[in-house]
Amino acid sequence: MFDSPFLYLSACSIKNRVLKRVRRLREPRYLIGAVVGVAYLYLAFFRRVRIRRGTAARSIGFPPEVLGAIQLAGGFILWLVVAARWIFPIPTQPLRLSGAERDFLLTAPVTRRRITSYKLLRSQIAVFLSTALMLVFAWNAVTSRWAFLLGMFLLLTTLRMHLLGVALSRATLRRAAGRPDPATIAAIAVIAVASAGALLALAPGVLAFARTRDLATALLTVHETASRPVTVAALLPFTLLVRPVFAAGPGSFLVAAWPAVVLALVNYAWVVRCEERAETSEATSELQTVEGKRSPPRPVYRRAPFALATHGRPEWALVWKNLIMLGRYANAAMLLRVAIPLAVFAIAVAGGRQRQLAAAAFPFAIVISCGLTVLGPYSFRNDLRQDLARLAVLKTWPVSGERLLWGEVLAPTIALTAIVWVCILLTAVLVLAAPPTALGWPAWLAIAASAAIVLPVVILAQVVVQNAAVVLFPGWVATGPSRPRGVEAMGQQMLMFAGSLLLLLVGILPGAVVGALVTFVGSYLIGWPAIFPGAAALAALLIAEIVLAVRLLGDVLDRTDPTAVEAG
Amino acid sequence: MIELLAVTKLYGDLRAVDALSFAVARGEVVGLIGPNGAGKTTTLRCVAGIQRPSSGTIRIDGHDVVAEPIEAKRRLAFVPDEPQLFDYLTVSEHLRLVARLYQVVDADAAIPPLLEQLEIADKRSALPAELSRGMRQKLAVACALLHRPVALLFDEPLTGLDPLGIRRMKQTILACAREGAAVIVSSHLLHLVEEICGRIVIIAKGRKVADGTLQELADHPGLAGADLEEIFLRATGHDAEASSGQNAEK
Repeated sequence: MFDSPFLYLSACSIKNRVLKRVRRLREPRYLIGAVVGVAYLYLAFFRRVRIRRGTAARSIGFPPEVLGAIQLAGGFILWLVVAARWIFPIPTQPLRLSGAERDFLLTAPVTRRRITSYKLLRSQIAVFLSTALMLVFAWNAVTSRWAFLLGMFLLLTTLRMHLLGVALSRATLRRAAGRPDPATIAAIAVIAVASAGALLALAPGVLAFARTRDLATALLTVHETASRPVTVAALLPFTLLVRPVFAAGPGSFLVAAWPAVVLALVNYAWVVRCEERAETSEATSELQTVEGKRSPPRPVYRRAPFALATHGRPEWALVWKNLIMLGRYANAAMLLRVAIPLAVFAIAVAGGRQRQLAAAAFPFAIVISCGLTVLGPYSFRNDLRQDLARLAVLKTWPVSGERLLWGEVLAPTIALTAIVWVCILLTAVLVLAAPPTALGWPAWLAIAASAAIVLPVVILAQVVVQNAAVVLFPGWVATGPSRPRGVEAMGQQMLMFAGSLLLLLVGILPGAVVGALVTFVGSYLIGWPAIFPGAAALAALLIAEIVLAVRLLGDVLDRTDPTAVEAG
Repeated sequence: MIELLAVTKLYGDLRAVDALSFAVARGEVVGLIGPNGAGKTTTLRCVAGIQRPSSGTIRIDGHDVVAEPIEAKRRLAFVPDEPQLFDYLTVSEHLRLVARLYQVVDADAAIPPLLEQLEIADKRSALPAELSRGMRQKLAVACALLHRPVALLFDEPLTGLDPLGIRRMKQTILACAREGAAVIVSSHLLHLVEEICGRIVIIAKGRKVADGTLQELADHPGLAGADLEEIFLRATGHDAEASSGQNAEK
């Protein structure tokens, strides 16, 4: 199966990849990133391993009934992941061949099955490394570290292969529009039986919760129904995969592992079979070749947010463009799945006056708003971080660097502001349901209004900082749709993150001081509502800083040579 | 219309472009040719305002590309060898974007005939991933022509086009010149350059080694040759290749 040309290819690839990573450490940005990344990993994780090395492994030893419950819970989670993927497919290319693999391997006198086996086995390296990292996380919590390592590796490998099989089966069914093959039918049957068992176990618990509104009672009910032989049998394929992870020693591991190995081999055979069917049913476009390790996401056409006039400030052309980018790469279904339940929940709570639930959710909504403000700009990258790869195009436009930057930073700011404002509104609805005792309505109204002003300006500041990093240190920031990988890339990102936060805090400080003073003085006159003019003062100062920063960065952008960026 | 005065571009110690001077008048099509690494693309990128020359002056319709970049770029269009499109914008949205950037107020009237002329009207709602290489090239050309530039730069404009596309592209370039634009075409396809360019500038190692019409170059002592290929080879110091080519044909 892993014949000499594939072994040779793998060995050379790994060797050259390592050499390339080592050689690039000659560049300061990678060396510093590597130092930071390694230091973080050591301090956060490996130091625990080192400290504990001299001591005997501490056996936690779960009681059998607890261990059984944990394994059952693990089986539930696995079932959920697999069932979700059958029902909600993620548009992905199942077995990606690079351009070179396509041109060399597909044209070579080797069977498709051998190529599939090669790709599957190559991918196990990454799975093993991930498992090793998990072991470091769980070093002090596991009974047998070897069992955990090998058991988790077996679990993740099998899961990954099964999910590959799901994607391939769906692709084949879509293309062939015919009857699925017996192996796929068997897989669907197993999932269906497991789903029936899981739902049988969960249903009484849901009903119990609806009746009693007590979570503990509901969980106990689920545990009782899940322990029945019918449910255990239905979820057996999943719990069999989980058992080796919690084995106490070599003997129990071997006993628990062999069914998991059988499952892994069955899934392997199924994937290979699916892949062959995909090829013969001409579903090869689902197995598209891509350049490089990861394929960039594909945009999906959706309506533009607004009609762009042919005259007016050029910045708005960029805002329009980047909002389109956001909409066409975002998965709207995912967003709706989060937004709709949240909105329904908030409205229902407000209408039904569920004080207890609202009081619990209220701080959660606050955290979401603040979290989006601070971390949202790292996820919403529809700005210069995406467009830097097109800098040569941008520089042919009759638009100054300053205006280009304004156009770039406004789009993610607008999108994030819209979400944060919705969160503030939902928070206000929750406050209606659970009125606070200490503060009156004017105070809460002032707080909400202040947040509505300040948070968007902080978001804008964050986005400007992110784009400033791109302009000033293009080699340090991940640009475009792909993400750099490796310890040095992680270290770079950590440095940039820390630097961005520090810069943001320094930038906010003057405004915060002025705002606090205004609020303090105003509070003697109008009480809590004085927070609003304080917030306005903070926002105004921060905007002034942002305007100045964009002007300076615009000059830098005007002088930036795209060749230097492209070479980096 | 397009003026380069002693333009130099340095990358560290490397002189990618070395004191290059030439001009392109309105209605003229000038071919910019040279060996690989001669500095053709660097020259075009400096003229387009993508890169700043290390020294020298570039003017587009009298506007210095460095001192008055906005005014210069407003009159200019650059079609690179590899079309750089936004993956998430449709054909019509690309043109809409360009219309706004260049303030083309009559874009609603100008876009449909432009799409028809370039034979991509039926692809107006397509994303770049749905277009063939040739269609992406046509879209890049459409974006370049929408604002009616007075200076046009083409870098390897025929790459990836089918025979009909090649013919259309040549017709488009000549039409732009007829309408008064100053056009620079950089290409390795010497027969194309011979066919559509009234004047040829040959550069090697960043320096201009020849500048003139085909007849003027052929009449130059030391550059006597039957066609542009031999002129090119001799001008760039490959006399032996030029001679062996002549002998082979005999």
